[in-house]
Amino acid sequence: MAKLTLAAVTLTACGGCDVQIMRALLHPDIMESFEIVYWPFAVEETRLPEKVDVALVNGVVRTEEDLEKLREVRKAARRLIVVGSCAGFSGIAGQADYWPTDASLRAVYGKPPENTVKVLRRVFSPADLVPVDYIVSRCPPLVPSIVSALRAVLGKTSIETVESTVCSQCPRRIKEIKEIHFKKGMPRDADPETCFLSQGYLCMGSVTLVGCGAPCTRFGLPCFGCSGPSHEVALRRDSDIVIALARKIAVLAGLDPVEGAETVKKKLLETYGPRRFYVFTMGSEVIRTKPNAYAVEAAAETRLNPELCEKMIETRKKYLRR
Amino acid sequence: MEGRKLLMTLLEGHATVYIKTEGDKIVDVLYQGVDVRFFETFWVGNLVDEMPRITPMICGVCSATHHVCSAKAVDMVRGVEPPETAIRIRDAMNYGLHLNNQAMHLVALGLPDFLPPDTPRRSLIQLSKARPELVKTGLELVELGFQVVKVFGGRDVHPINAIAGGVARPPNKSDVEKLAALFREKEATLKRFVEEAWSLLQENHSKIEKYKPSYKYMMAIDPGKPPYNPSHGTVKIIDEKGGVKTTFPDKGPEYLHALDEHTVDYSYIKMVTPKGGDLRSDSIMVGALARLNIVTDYGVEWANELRDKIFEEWGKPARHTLLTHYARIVETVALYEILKEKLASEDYYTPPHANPPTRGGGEGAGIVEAPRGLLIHHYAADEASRTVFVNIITPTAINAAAIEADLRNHLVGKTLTELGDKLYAEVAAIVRAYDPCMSCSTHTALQPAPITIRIVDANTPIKLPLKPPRRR
Amino acid sequence: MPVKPPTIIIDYDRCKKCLNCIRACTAFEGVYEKGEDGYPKVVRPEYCVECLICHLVCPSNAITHKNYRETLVLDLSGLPIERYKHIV
Repeated sequence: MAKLTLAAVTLTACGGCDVQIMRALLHPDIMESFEIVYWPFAVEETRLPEKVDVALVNGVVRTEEDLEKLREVRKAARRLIVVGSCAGFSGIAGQADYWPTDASLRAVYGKPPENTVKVLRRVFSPADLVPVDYIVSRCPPLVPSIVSALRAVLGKTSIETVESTVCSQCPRRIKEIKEIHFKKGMPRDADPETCFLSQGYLCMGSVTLVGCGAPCTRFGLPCFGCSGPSHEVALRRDSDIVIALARKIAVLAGLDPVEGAETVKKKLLETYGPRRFYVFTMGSEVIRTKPNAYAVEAAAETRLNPELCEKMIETRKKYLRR
Repeated sequence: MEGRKLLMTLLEGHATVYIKTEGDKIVDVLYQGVDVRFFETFWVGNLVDEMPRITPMICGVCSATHHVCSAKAVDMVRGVEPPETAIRIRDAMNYGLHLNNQAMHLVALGLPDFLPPDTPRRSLIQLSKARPELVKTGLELVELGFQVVKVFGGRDVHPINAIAGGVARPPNKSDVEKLAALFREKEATLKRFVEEAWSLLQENHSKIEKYKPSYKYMMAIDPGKPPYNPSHGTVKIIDEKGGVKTTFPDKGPEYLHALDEHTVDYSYIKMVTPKGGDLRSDSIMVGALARLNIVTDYGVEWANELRDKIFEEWGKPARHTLLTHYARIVETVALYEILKEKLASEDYYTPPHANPPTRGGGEGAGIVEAPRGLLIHHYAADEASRTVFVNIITPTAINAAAIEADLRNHLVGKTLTELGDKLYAEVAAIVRAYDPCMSCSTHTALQPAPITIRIVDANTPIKLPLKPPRRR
Repeated sequence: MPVKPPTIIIDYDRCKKCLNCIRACTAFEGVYEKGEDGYPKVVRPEYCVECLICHLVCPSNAITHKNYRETLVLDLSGLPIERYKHIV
């Protein structure tokens, strides 16, 4: 069988996906079946061919150049797999949308650089802009997941979508909640055997896609939500990260799943602020278009209060002026 | 206007080299970074304690270093000294990451550059055809580094274990023992790797000789006493002769008195010079070669011997830009041996693993050595622990001015005709020696992909065409 | 109208024994009961009113209903559904 051609394209990203792709491609059966024709990270080839069989895209669309590149690769690729939270749900880079782009530019550069690539006004995830064949989510994406997606492209194995949440792999025991009270900060004195939600800490495990093996909760840290929203949250138009989480907490505390959830939701938002729930999904259209979501509300905080931006910029200047 | 665009490769992220010409003659070279992600603003308003979980995502290649550096800064913000055990665990994480990165750079990004320039699609794969042993052993070391980070940091990329005041959990004892056994087993692998890599470089001395250095200063952390430790010490800036110009501590905002950040209008990288320095003449080089010259004793005999060999041949301080590849081999040896010893003997289990913070917030900065050079994280938080200020200076931002200086020195005055097809290879050799990590360096920016070389007329303002040309 | 009660399957590999399903069930008698091993058991599927609240409160999406009414429209835009078919 002739080798399939493979191109890996990095948009604005951290390079972690590139590393994981490299480790995936080193699997002997993958190495035999694919020929890498374009991959700036590891192959000295400057031109994306006009036709490739498989393209792996990672990173977010942040600049005009990224947008061009994404269109180009979508046109060229027969199968497009996006790798990583950034490409699937805007990832951590989506957080930048909390501040208006020009405020951020001013804060960091003073006068923004002009003679260079233009930064877009907001962050987009590639999966929102072009049709994609597979999403390998998580930050960093797991090597076995990338391998299984590539094998699926080869037609060797069928692929199962993940639909459970991190809770299903977490070893902690869930207990009933006695009193609705949330604590901020890192759980230093938390019991290592009991669920963080039962102890009053914010853990995103129950609304986050599974697959990582829950390393964070095993290490005594609550889930941050790096895989993106779970099936239930993303698919149901009436659902959202905050309300889904509140519903689960409310029932754990013996409250009504509808009315109780509203009370819990209010408390959650009061304690942590809306932004904290969208650390890895703030720029995703899947979340933004939900009527009940707070992602847009979080971003509105700074848009409605320009003084907030000014204060941020002034503080930065103050600390750097010595 | 002449318009030519070459895409450069084998580095993380995207960068552009602008070559300005007058007629055929090259008059100036600019180095441009284009990715922006705004890590310095977006966490403002959220808990400062969470910074160590956020900042690794600045760079997926050296994530553990960002993690450790961030934890160091947060310790200071929250006014807490981590216990001994926690420091050892964090150090182990950083050692593992350095081992991983030095080996990875050599096999995947750096050494393919020494293949004959007419090899199509020079890469790890081509290198493994020419030198199968080198790549095989190198990749084993890379995986070994990942294992160390995973055991001590929780995840191999983007670790999570370090928190303000210490670490969240000690590593699993059986995992550490397995690792120690693995390090004992792979001694031969390391030996083979060093032989192969060293001989490949030995064959290419003419290439190393060709690229004369023209950066001015070198900067690195000097741990003071052996063994070599990238996480603690005093930062030293040395000049061309090796004399110490400035020193500053590896904690606290004193770095602001020693370094200047410059915004340039053609790049999203904020370039760095010594205080009051000029962008064009006072560039600083950081990274493995700077460490080679500044660290007095690696604490590993083999590494010291290798280093002395370099000094014998190239003088002290050794400054040729491409010697960085040698320096990476030396460090691989040192890191492997230090880790082997530490994993076998060090105690990671005695509690406490974290001390409670003494204040809500304040100001703090942490400085550690990343594989590519000096990394600075500087935060401030208010009484409710909300982040109010973040400043991050990454190695490639510091190196950017040095890369520019080297490129200018090598190219300005030559003509395009005389360089011909070699232009790409020559620019690439210099840029790759610095191993720029564009994801990191473009502060706010993420990294885009490859290096692009654009050639423009001196009279034409640099402007990105709306649709970048796609062909050579 | 179908008379057959829905088949309710609990995936015990995923179940965390939090018993949220027992607490939230809206049927009069309750469809679920705690078993001796601590896991919830489906004991009265014929009482199920197919409100599917148990799906929403389960932290690990361990519950599946089969042959329940199929008129439920989950998503109008269709976009996220398409996407989730292929998450790896």
